[in-house]
Amino acid sequence: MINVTDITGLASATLAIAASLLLVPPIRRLKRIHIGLLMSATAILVAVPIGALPLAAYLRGGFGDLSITTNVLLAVAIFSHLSGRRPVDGKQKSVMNVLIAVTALVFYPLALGFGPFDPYRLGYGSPGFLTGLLMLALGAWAVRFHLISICIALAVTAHAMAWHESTNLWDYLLDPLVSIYALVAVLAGGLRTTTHPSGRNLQELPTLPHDRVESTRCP
Amino acid sequence: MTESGEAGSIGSRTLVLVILLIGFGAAFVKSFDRPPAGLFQPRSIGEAGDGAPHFETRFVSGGETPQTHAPSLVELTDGRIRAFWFAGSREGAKDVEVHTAVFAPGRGAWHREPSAATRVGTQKSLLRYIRKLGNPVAVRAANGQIRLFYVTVSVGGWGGSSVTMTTSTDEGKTWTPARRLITTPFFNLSTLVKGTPFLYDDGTLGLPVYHEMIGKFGELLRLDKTGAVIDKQRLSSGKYSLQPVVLAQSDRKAIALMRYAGGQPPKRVLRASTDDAGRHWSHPEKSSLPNPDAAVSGVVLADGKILVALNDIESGRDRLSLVTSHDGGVTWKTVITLEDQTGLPGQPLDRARYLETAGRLARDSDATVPDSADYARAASVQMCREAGCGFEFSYPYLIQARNGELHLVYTWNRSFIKHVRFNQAWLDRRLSETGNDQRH
Repeated sequence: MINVTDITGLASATLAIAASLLLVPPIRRLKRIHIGLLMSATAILVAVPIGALPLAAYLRGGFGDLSITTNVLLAVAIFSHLSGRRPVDGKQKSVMNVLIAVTALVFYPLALGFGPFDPYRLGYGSPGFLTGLLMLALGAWAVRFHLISICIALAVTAHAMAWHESTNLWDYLLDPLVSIYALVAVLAGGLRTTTHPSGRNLQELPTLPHDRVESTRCP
Repeated sequence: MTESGEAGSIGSRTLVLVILLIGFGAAFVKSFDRPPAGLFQPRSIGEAGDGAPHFETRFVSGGETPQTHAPSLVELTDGRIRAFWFAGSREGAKDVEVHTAVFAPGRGAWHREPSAATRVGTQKSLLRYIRKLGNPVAVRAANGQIRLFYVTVSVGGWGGSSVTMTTSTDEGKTWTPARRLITTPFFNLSTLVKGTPFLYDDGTLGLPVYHEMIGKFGELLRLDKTGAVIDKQRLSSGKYSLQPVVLAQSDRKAIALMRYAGGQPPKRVLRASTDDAGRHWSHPEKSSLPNPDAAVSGVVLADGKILVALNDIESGRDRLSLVTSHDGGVTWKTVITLEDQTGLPGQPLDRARYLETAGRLARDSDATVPDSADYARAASVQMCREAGCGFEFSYPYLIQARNGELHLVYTWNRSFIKHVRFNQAWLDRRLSETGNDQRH
């Protein structure tokens, strides 16, 4: 019998594959309805077993289960692109990218063995770690960075509900794909600021592809 | 902002706060539900038979596949011993399966059973692509079930490994669908098993594992009664230690021995210790035991002595010995050298000489072998290269049964699994015969 964690894992791999269509420029130029249909068809295609496994299982085999943060960002990107509305402003996403990038730069080397301290261990229910996260989430809420609060809150909830295979909270908060994405976004934003020092600030760091759907900022 | 817009904003802010508080409430409840750290559970051991010394050897596998490697053992409730190892056309091939066989002490013979895990079966259970299978280790959980842990790889070499678990409620005849343990945050890459799992006094399970991507270091996983990972502890760091084995001397005292994977001579087994049931481990230090970057295995005997099987040389894997320590692994004494081809003149051997020597070793290992030349030929396929042939006796796995008998299995020239069975009386006699010779 299929486990709940397999369903959630395959669903998130399917979401990632469907969202990746938004990275293809010709697809992004299609009408929203056509993009929606294309994404739905792709999702069905990759979720249905072909041979022994569905295509989504190959992505899952290689990359593992995607974090709740990644799922939220993908969902926001898809929603924005299909609805033409922007539920999260650019500044929030930029701050989120910086937060993910800095965390990943410190976390992964230590967790992969650079030194005796393993921060990954904190994810197995350390009350201190949870308290720190709660402070961060409340702080983000206080300054109205709701994307950060929501991502942390959903990750913590999903972990408590054993949503994914992993029993470690870190795997719900962060994964290598969202880390790489955030690092690239921060670096590209920094580069842009250096090249055009006059004007652009964090609001114009590159984020997910839906940014191009609707821009209310002045050129 | 209009009044309705403001109300909407306040509403969504409140919703975010509610989600946040509910999520963290659930997380804190779960966190406080986690079992507190347990104590080690040294095993109580009985006395076998009439207490007369006995020592015997035989092969577990009969050359069904060209390559075999990494055996492990678990005792069944009726006193029989079940072995697991991985085997196939070659290490890392898609046809590699986790083989199993059962040893009936009364009959003194192994009986091969259907594979415990296959690549395709594992892939189907895990709903993800699996490229190859590796090291298996098994343990009897607190609820009486047997848990089998084995290495699976989806992408790349052994550095890309993760650990998969399956459970048997009928002593290993059938197995539940496999589950993957998530143990690292980077695509769950690079956790492998080799050391013997053990129980804590609260029924949770200690699973020694190791990491070998970029760094090489030992870790200890703790699993709850359902097999979920509830803690992970680093036993070492850096790029020089693998395959930890945890040997509990009391409920709080234990040592961890690790394979030395560094290049800095002298090459020695690494030793760390704890006095507080593993809450803190000492920094691993080189022991007096030589180690050629090869696995070790051991048990703690009823009298507190530690018995270890290892390749007690600094290069190659052509000698395998049993050594013992009465002082918690500080000093060691050789009990017996089980295999030794280090002194063979003219190495590497040509194929003809290899076949002759391997045939003799096979006959000496198991008198029931129908044709020792077959064994020698199978070994030569794995161990002969253009430059010549060599011997390998590696990956020991040692357990003590409830009746006090000791069972050791190891890879014999990458083509067979060899079993050595002996008892405490034989061990005592060997120790009195060797006196103070061969100290490390």
